[in-house]
Amino acid sequence: MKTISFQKGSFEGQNLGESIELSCDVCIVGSGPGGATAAKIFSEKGLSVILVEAGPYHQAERFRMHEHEGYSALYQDGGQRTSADGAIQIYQGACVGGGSTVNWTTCFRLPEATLNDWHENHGCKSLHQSDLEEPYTKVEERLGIQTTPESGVNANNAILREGAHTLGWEAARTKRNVRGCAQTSFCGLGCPVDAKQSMLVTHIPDALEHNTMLLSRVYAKAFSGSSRVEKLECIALDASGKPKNDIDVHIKAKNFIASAGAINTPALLLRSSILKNCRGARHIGRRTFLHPVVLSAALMRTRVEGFRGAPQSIASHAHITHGSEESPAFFLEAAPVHPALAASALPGIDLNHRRAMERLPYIAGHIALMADGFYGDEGGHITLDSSGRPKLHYPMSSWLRHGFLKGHKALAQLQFAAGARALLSTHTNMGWQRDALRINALEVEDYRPNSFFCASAHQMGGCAFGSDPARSVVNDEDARVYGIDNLQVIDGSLFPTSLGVNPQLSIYALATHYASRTL
Amino acid sequence: MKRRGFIRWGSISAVGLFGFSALKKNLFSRYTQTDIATQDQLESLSHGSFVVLSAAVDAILAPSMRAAFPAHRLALEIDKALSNNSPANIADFSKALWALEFPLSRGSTQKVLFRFSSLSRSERREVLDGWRLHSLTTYRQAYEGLRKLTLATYYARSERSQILGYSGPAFVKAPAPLHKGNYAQQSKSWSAIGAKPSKALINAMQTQRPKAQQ
Repeated sequence: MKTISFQKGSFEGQNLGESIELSCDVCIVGSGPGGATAAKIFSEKGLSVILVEAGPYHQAERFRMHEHEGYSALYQDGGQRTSADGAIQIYQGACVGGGSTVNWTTCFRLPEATLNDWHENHGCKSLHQSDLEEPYTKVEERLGIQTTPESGVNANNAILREGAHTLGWEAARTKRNVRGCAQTSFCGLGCPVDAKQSMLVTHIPDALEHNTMLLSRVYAKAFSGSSRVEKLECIALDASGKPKNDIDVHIKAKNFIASAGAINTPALLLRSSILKNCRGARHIGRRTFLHPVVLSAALMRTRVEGFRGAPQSIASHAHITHGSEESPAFFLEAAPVHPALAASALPGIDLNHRRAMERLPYIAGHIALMADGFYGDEGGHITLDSSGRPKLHYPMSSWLRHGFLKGHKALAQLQFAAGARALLSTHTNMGWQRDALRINALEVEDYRPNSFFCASAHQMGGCAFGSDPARSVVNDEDARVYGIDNLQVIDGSLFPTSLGVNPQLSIYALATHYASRTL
Repeated sequence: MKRRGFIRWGSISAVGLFGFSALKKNLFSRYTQTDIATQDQLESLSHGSFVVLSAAVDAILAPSMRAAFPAHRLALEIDKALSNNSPANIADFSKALWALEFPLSRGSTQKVLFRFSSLSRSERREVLDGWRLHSLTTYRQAYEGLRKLTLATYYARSERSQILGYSGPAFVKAPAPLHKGNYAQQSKSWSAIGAKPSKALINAMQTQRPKAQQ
């Protein structure tokens, strides 16, 4: 194995022809919101940073707005990641910039009620809302996070707002991290005009300008060491993301940070034998949350063209305080209606499915996102398959299914209030419904796994932080893994519950908070 | 979309294989439109699995869709899309296809003496419909997996979705970024820092060089 000196800049694993060993001050796994933000802050402090990313380093020129290219190139498992029983479709970025490259740009601050719940029920004593004020200010300025102008609200989102307001429900324009949005609608396939202020065009170039070495197409296998992490063992990948088995990359560092996101960060820790004896080992991978989504497709009287304009610009949190021990709270947002995305969500095959697809320009798509992790809900957990890849086990509890039922009924109410002619609940045994009777007759038993469309674009938890090492993996004082003082976790896997809002801004703020106070 | 972990397919397939071994290989005609694909063209599946997949895709697509794009060609695209998955997941997908093919593992009482790929299209639709509403989640999982993967792969090509009124991307080609900022860093060469570049990269550079000289 050849020793190579640290050199700032970006390097691609697929072009590496021999095994190498590198050294730096800080080694970060994952270039999404958490990892890229940490890399920026550490490198601006003058530290040498190596940022390891398994995905490809694609830039705007490669974002050609084609579904057949985008999902396979930019998402985990080529866009085909699901929960272990196949019941929940998992949309999760797998490229430089991570989720920020492919998300729909919606930004919310961490709700005070959620942080209060963490204080009261999950032993998070050290983190306070005031700690995040300065990070929010910095991040919102750098990423151009502002309330969407009225001109940025497309028909699909306007229908969501109209239906909510007709019913007297709160619904308002959201904040987005964009500058000069060209309204291409393809945020989910990488912004082709760099209007989206993802990590790809903000914190990563900031970090590269200072002292960061970005290694794309390099897969982190495991941390190794005895009482401290001594090195990160990686393997180079080829251009299609398959392992080049004979080419290892080992990285020695003083400090290591796991920022591979919920699902992948817990999996990395589970693969690392050094973590087996750490104090919070039994909690690794536990309490994984998804904001599980149910979708309702409304057939409108005029063209909606939900495949045009900003995918999300309106949200309704009217139901976010309605959680109980019987069912979760939820919030409502719009979903873009691109053909492949719609094709996998709309039920049926053959003519039934085709007839629904033929109405595509008239379909409005809205989703109810469940706030999981509250009222005693444990969410899902991560294990490893025989090849060391993560498996997400996420049971559809009665509590959750009651939430799906309420969510669907709320969406139906809203869509009919906005003038829908008919709607599809996405259940495999139901067609278009012309009134709410059939929807209102749905029961919890109708939410068996794989009998309706369910998805997640917000993965959270799995390495919960807190002040009590008996209950947490990570210390909420400094984001260090209990028992291993040179390993931190900085990403969405820290959350002990879901957030009840889109998570990206909270991850940026937490990463800024923890990276700023480290070293 | 991909069905992670077709768990339980191992035992179900074993039952099916046992039953199938009792059938004579040449007794039934197989789904015949698949001779266009050879094993060399496949990236993920065996030819046998591909035949079953083609038969399933043929039952899932509406007539107008099949007329516009033949089922076995879509099955080839699905085979390629599957290559993004882990070998374990691809193996599970294959097991689900074989469970569909063999009468005793299909979990239904319809056409118990016939392989799935030998059934008429309407009969194959009936079998899939049985999986859609099956009491075991494993069958529903396989149905949803096949269905989503087939339909999403079909409609992912904007030229096949234009007939729906989908206008496709606003730009025909990727536009120059409007907001260059300080990003768009080019990746550096490993050789510049003393590491050997990959053979693939060296070969690519050698083939480019003569062209540049011309």
